[in-house]
Amino acid sequence: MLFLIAAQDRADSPFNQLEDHQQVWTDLTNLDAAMREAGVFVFSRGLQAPDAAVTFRVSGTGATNEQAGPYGPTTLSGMWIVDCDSESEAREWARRCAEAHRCEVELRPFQPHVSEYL
Amino acid sequence: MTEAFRLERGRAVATLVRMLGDIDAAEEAVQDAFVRALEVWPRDGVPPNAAGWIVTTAKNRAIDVARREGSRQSRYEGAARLGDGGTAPDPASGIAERLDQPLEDDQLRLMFTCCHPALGLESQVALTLRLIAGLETRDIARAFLTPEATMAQRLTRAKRKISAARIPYRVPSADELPERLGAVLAVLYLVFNQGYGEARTDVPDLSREAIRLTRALVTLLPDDLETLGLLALELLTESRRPARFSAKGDIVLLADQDRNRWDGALAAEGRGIIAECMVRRQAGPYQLQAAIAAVHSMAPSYSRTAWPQILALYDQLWSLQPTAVVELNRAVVVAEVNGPERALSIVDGLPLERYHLWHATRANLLARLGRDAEARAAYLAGAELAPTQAERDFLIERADG
Repeated sequence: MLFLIAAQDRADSPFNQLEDHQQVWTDLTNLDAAMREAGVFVFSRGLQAPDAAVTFRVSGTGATNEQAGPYGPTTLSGMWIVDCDSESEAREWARRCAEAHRCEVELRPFQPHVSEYL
Repeated sequence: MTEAFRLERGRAVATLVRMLGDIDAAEEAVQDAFVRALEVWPRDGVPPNAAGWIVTTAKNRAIDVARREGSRQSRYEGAARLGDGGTAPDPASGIAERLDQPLEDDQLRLMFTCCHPALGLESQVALTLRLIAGLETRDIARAFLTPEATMAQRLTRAKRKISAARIPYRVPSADELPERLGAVLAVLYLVFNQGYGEARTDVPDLSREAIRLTRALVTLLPDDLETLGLLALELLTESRRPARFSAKGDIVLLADQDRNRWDGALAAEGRGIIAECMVRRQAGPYQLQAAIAAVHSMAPSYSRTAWPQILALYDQLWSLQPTAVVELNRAVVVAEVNGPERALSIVDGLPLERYHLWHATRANLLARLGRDAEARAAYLAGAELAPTQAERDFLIERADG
């Protein structure tokens, strides 16, 4: 089962209160290594700040309109994708993500791809 | 006295350039002031504000010259403004307001002049070392293996071009700043690397100069993440220097370096800077290269390096700088993460046949795959293209080993 663990960047998170972030980067590096070792690692990466985003809107006529900036107010700041045998295992990894990053994370299961229904 | 002399001269020249609007006149005036100091100081003692004494003396000297040469010499017309003693802040830039060190303000201004895009890269580097770092022409020439006369000519031509093209002495406006700052950072990194490739001790330590100048730039632009990234990159790279050459002066590869000899204090400072840059989530090429160096600096050994982390950083670097050289460096990491075969297929597809490190990287991968004859040929091909004797020796030795 694939799960998304999404990091949320909030001004009041411990991460944003720290003066020295070196231990965070070390812990995140070690967490990735632990995920690989456990065989659950699929992907992990931080996101650039929201002002690097570009939003594409489609109108009723199907025309696409491109505009600089995020789709809306966002706290998404990075993500892990893990492949776990159970939701309880995924919860355990999400807890470790929150602790290593010192910020809130959201765990959400992926649903099967549409091709798998057909 | 030489070190202090150099630093003070750099500051004094920058101030006088601002006052006089002419580089040659500024250099002459400051030179005269130092000659005067050598006469007066041994007799009367060093004044409490030695730097201020030099600037005042040089300024008076320039006024004298301007008076003597009168209206015939329009190039000293700036001296007429000497009385007001200050300079109008650049209204287009918010930087000037943040500066509380007027002397360094002048140096920043002059740094942008030295690195103006109208000048070639070689001239930018030479001018920066001469005017900002305060190095002697003969020392710059020696560091770049160029005859002194050639270097002197290059400097003269560059200075002439500055006045002919009316290149202004100012910090660029906010909209120009990112691009112009890029040129300054490129020059500083080039100066750093020129020094880093050097095992000789008879030439000025250009890496140290680059770090000093980058530090000065950081105090002036404390919020610029790429400037901070460059400083961190320089510190982390410099931290490995004690292990980079053997006692005989031979190159020692990262994989074989004695990590106990790395300078822990420099590395820690570099890591501290880059750790805070990454929080801002606006990674640029210098920050990413510094982050890669930071991960290396924390590894207890080459084999116990966080290679997947380094690969992720290279992927991000490649997305910003999709060059063949970045891909070559990335392939070295792919070899550690996915094996030498996968890395070799990437390397073979890169159009870098004229680059000695392309051959050296191929040779290393071929050797790891047991293809010894091909590896040897690749080492020799690399040796033929190597720019320094140390690298040539290294590659020939590998071919024979």
